[in-house]
Amino acid sequence: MQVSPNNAPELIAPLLNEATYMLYISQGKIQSNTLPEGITITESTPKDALHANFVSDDPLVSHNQSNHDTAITLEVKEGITLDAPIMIMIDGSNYDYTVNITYDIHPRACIDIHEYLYSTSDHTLNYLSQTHVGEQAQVKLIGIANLDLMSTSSVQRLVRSQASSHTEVRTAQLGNGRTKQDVDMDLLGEHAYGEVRTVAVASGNQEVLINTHLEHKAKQTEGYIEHYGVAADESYLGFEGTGKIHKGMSQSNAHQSNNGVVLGEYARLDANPLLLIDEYDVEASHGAAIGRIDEEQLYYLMSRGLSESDAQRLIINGFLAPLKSMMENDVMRDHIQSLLANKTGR
Amino acid sequence: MATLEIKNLHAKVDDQEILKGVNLTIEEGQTHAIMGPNGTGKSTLASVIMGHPRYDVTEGTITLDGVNVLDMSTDERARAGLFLAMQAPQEVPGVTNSDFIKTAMNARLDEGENVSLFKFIKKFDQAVEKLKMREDLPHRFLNDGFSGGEKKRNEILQMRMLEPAIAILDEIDSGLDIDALKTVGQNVTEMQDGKRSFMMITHYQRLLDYIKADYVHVMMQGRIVKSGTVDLVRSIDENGYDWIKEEVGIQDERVVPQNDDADEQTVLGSCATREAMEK
Repeated sequence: MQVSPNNAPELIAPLLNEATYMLYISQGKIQSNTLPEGITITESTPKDALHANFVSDDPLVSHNQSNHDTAITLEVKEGITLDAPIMIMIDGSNYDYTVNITYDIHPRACIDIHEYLYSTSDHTLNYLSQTHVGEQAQVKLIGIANLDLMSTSSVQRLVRSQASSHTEVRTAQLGNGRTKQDVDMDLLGEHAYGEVRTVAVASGNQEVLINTHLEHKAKQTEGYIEHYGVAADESYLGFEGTGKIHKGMSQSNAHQSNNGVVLGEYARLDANPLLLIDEYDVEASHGAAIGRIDEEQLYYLMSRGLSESDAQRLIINGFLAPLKSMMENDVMRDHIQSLLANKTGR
Repeated sequence: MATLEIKNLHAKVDDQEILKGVNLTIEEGQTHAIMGPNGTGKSTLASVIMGHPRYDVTEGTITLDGVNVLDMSTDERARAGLFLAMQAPQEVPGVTNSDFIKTAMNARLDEGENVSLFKFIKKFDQAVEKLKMREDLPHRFLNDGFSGGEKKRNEILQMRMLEPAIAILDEIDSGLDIDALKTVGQNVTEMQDGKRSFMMITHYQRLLDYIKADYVHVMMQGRIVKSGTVDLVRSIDENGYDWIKEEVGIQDERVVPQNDDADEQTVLGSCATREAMEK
């Protein structure tokens, strides 16, 4: 039995209405589905052959793989190109859930997926997505999390990329709950390109931990990790990024940057960029720049009549400019901006 | 529009007194030029008027039409009509010029009121043209990657947009080639409408070839030691500052740290950079 997205909570209904293709999961069930031709959906975990790619030594991952309330596999047929993104809306309110989605993207497909995780209650949401990117496929995976103050969530995204594929993962943690986010990407085929860009804003006494792990398991692979964060009030925000180039995977590039602004006097922001390299013929870099808002910049903006909070808001919005690439329409842009305004209290 | 009155102004930075009793009144519609050698407190005066957090005022007053400016925060001063075109404008990546100016203009309106987008774009485009800046300026990040000359012209563009009552131009001529100086000069002159007041800080008389000043002041040792009309500039141009120093009995015009040891003091006078490095 399908319900119209208009029955969705007020906050997310406009986002669903705006989406050309969408899948709306609420109360552990698919409520609504407007997926286009060429994409098949099965309500089960992936086939064994596919599953083998995602075997993980992370106990939480294995737990979520075998214990789930909802498991969905989306198969994107070879060579499919979509004219609009697919919105995957997951409402985690009212119950404790584990949701597991597998994207099986066949060779040469070209697809944008927008995941929106949402919750308005003090429940736990475990979310695991497994993306298999076929040869020469192009995938943009955007994940926005907006989870309630009292909720606890673990969000894990596993990506396995085959030869000459291009994968961009962009995530934004804009909710108020305790959150742990992992992105674990393996570049398995030669010339695979992977990029993981995360924006996280922590406020109140929230704890947000962002883990990004990118492994180069084939030659001539290219990987980028970018973390952008703001820690306000008394929050804690941690960035753990690891780029790993395995032995023999020559002419690979692994780069990582971390940028953070600490707003609150008692807020904490840590960044631990790691590079693990077992091969000589590679290019790699990592760095972290964490600090408070530049007093001189603030003074400059204020000298033109902007109040301190307006000046701060402009600087923070500018700093979090990577968010802009996640705003594919006006509704989403306004939505993200209002979330941000709530988070930074201005 | 307004009168700015500075009386016996003393200010310090990091516990060191830089301004030592500045007196200056700028009446509505007047343009004052502040000249003087390096390190005599000219830029400090500009920063103190605008309320830079690094400077502490220890004595004296600044009033705008009788209202105490020193009680106001930097943004309140700006909204009250003060504007400072800075010597080294900040780069703010991620913030576009148009967002910035729009926010600054809206800050001058009542809460909930916004400047009309149509009027804003028209005014911005016009300012871009007048200052001969790149057409994509509104979308570029604020001063980010701008050349020195572009930054200076952007300061004047902001002034055009915000229409302050009193504009302070801190070495707006430095880093400008002759064509850009001309452009900036024309723009400032256009804004000298008999109501708006200006305070221009400069090293060189050449700026005054492009912008007419009613009064010229010379700063030394953290205060104004000589005031006059444009004739004063000509004397400085021909004879340098030494005659003024003699006239007012000053040996070292700067307010850099004074050293008790007479020998070291001569070293300081001839090579401040080396002295600073050795410290």
